[in-house]
Amino acid sequence: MKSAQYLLLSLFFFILQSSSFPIIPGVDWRPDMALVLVVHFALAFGRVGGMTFGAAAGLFHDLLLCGTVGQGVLSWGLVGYASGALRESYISDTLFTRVGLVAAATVADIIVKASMARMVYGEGVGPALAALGPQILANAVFAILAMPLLIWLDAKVGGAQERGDKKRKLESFLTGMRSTR
Amino acid sequence: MAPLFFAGAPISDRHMSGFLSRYRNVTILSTLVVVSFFLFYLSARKENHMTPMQKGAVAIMAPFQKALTAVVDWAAGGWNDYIYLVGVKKENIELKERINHLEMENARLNENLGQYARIERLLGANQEQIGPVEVARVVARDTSGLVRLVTLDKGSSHGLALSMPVVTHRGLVGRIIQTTASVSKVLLITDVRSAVDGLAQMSRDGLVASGANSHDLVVRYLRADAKVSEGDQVVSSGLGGVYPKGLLIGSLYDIHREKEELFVTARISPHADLERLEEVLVLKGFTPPTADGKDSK
Repeated sequence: MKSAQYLLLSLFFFILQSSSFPIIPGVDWRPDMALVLVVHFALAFGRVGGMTFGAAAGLFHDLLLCGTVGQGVLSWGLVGYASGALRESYISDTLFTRVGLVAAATVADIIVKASMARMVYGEGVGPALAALGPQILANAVFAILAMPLLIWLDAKVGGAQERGDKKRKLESFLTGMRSTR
Repeated sequence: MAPLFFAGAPISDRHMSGFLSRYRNVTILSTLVVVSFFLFYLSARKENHMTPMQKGAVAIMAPFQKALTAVVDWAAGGWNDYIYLVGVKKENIELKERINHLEMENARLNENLGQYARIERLLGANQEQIGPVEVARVVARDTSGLVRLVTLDKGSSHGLALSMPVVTHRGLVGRIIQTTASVSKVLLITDVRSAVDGLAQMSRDGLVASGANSHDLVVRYLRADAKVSEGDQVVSSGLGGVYPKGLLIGSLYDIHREKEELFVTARISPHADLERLEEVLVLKGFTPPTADGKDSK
């Protein structure tokens, strides 16, 4: 998939995440879909691409849902960078490592955001840290379901794009031939 | 070694480019950290003002959020009305019993209310009017757990303005902190930035109900000699002018009195279900005065 398509997908995830309130009674936490997408993007595009996409998605998250801007930018930017760096240098790309990365990203995300919130408001980060366990679980379960789908989507859309590119190249080549005659 | 691209540049530029390429990762990460903190500092200072970027993002997403909320409501309605009917008969019997109790209690309270109105007329007191209200739907909420904000599907074009109180039929929800033409953001009373001046309804002891980013509120400045007990209801006092007087906040619980402490420690369980808000009422008739004494409208 292209970056623009990823951005559209992240917008869709934002809408889904922020507007579909918990349908199951008694469950207060829901998966951070866009964070999973940031990890997936970073694994595909490396550290700089991951960081850029993470910061952009974080900025949009902050603008849309938070009262303050910057927490999402830093947190998701770092998650994107770290995921991309790990993929480039250390880890192989399996579902297990992807889920592990998502779990680690959830911890990092909450710690970074809580630290920044604490700087400004001084308190109120305890409940977010207390909800860390359920949030990791929610994100990991979503990652198990979503990662294969994202990889399939990548292959499907990417394949279609490649076929489209080849067709366009052929057409432009033929047009060039005709104009030369 | 400097890259080939910079070979023709002056020596200082070459040194700079060599430095940047050597410390590329550090430079990128430092830039990210600096930009993030800069944005955070700016937005934390001007919390009640939406930047054009925020307005743009909200304007783009609002129609989609409204549409999705409508779809989810429709699906949930189908589930609740047709499928999720287990135990309805038993619940129906219990509810009828409860209605009987409530009707009796209602009759008694009506009697008290009539008495109160007569006394008020006699005293010539002015009854505080809440005025017109606007019904709005919650279309989005923050999911990070570090702030307690919800987005409403109505904005300044519907007469909503900054600092207007937001309630449900069960109690106080919060106040509007940001608004655009089509949507508004509400700071819930459970957010760490929120503090409501309140009264214990029965004993009339003053307290401050502070948000803690959790499901309930923390009680502050409730005197040690306050005659309060578990389950006592807390209402807004109207002091400070942020909220009108008499709005139900919640019930006291987890009350602890320590020897030689000036204040009681306690918590308040909000009556409004802030975790599952769907429709709310915005009290348009109440706009608190700003610091310069003008109406916030």
